[in-house]
Amino acid sequence: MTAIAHSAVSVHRARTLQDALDQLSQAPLQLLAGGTDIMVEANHGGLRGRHFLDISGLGSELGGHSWLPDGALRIGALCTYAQLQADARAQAELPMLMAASRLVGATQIQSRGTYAGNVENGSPAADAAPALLALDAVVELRSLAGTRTVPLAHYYTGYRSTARRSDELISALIVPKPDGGVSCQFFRKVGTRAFQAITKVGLSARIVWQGGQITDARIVATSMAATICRAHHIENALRGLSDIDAAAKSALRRAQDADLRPMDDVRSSADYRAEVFHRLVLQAASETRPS
Amino acid sequence: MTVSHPHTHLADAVAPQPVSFTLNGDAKTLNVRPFRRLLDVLRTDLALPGTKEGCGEGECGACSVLIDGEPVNACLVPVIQCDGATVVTIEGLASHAALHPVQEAFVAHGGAQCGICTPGMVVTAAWMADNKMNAAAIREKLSGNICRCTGYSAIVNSVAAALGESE
Repeated sequence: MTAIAHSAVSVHRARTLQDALDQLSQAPLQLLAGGTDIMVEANHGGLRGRHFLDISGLGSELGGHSWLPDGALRIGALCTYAQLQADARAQAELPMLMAASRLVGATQIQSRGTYAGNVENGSPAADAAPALLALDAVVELRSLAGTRTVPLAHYYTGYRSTARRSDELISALIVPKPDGGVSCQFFRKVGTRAFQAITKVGLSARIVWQGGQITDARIVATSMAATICRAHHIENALRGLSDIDAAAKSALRRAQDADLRPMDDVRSSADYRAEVFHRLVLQAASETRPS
Repeated sequence: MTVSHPHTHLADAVAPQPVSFTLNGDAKTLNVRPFRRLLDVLRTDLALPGTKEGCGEGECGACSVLIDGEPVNACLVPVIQCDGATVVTIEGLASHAALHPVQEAFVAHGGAQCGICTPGMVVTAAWMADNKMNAAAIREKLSGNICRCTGYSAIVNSVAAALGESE
C-alpha cells in the first residue's frame, strides 16, 4: 500500500463553535459537515494532504432554522434539506427553495446534506444555492474576529471559490421575506431524470408582475457559467414588459447572450443549454403572470 | 503484495480514535481511523455484511442505513461522524420474533431478485413505514435506491403492501 505520512492528513471533530473558530484561526482547514460532496471526492482518492475540521457535531449551535420577526428565514449552517422541507411555513412561503431542496440527490442525500455546504461547495450545478440567490439570500460568516454578512450575489469569486476567509465558517444563511409572495417564484432543473441527477441547465427566477407588467425580476442561471449567477441583462430586459411577444423574445435572447456563454461539457452542449435556458425564461415569465 | 483499494487513501491516513455509537440497539466503542467509511466499518470490523456497496459515491443507495432515524448512504459517512449517534442497519430491522413488516412484504410480493439493492431498499422502505408515510410517496422516497433487476414494480408493490395500501 502507498505510504502516506500521517502528518499530511488530520481530522478534528469540533466540540463547540468556539473550538471550531479557534482551530480555523490557526490554520486553513477543510470544513466537513454533511459530507455528501467531500466524501465523494475522498472516496475517489482525492483530498489527500488536507486537514479537516468536522463541524457536524455542532447542531446545538449551528443547526436548525428559525423565522425572524421581519419574516426572514434563518437557516443554520447544519440545517439539512430534510429538516427544512419538514417546515410547513417554508413549504408555503418559499416554494422555489422547497422545489430545489426536493431535487437534491434523493432521500439519503437530503438527510445529510446542508444548505450551507451547498453554498460553500460552489458548484455551478448546485440545486439549493441558485434558489437562495434568486431569493436574495445573505451569507453570515463567523470567525474569532466577529460576524459579517455577504450577499450571496457577491459570494462567488470564481469557479468553486468564495468570499469566505480561511478563518471563517458559514454560521447561517438569511433568506429575506420575498417580495411578490409565492406566485412570482419559479424553479426548474433540467437533468437526465428528476432525482439523482446533476443539472444540465437550470433556472431559478422571481418575476414580479404588477398592473399587467413586470416590475422586478431575479434571473439565476445554473450550469450556464463557472458559478451560479444572476443574469442582469435578462432581468433588465424583463422589467417593463407587459407582453412576451416576438420582439420581447428576441430582446431576451440577445440579453441572454450578453449574460451567459455556456460551455460544452460531459453533461450537455453549449447550444442545448442556451436554447433550453431561453425557453425556461419564457416559461418563467408566463407561469408567474397573474391570470 | 497488498493491492491498494482506491477507497482507502484518505481512510488510512489518519490515526485511529475512539468512536462510540449505538448499533442495532447495542452500545459499541471502536478504535478506528476516523475517515473510514461507515460502510467499511460495518462490513469489515463489525461483521455486518448486509449493508452492500453499489457505487461508493452516494448514487445507488445499496448502503442505506439509518442514522438517528434517517436514511443515509453509509459510503458517504466518515465513521467519526457516528460518534454519539444511533445507527440501524438491515440486520437491526427484524426482532428475534419477527421480520419487519417491510421484510414480510418483500417476501410475499417478490420484492427481491439478485439481492444487492434489497437491504438498502428495505431500510429506506422501513423508514417510510415507521414514519407512516403515504404510498403515493414511494417512488420519490425510494428514488435514491437503484435496482438493476426488477424494474421496480415488484419493489414498489412490496412497499405499498407494507404501508397498508396499493400504490
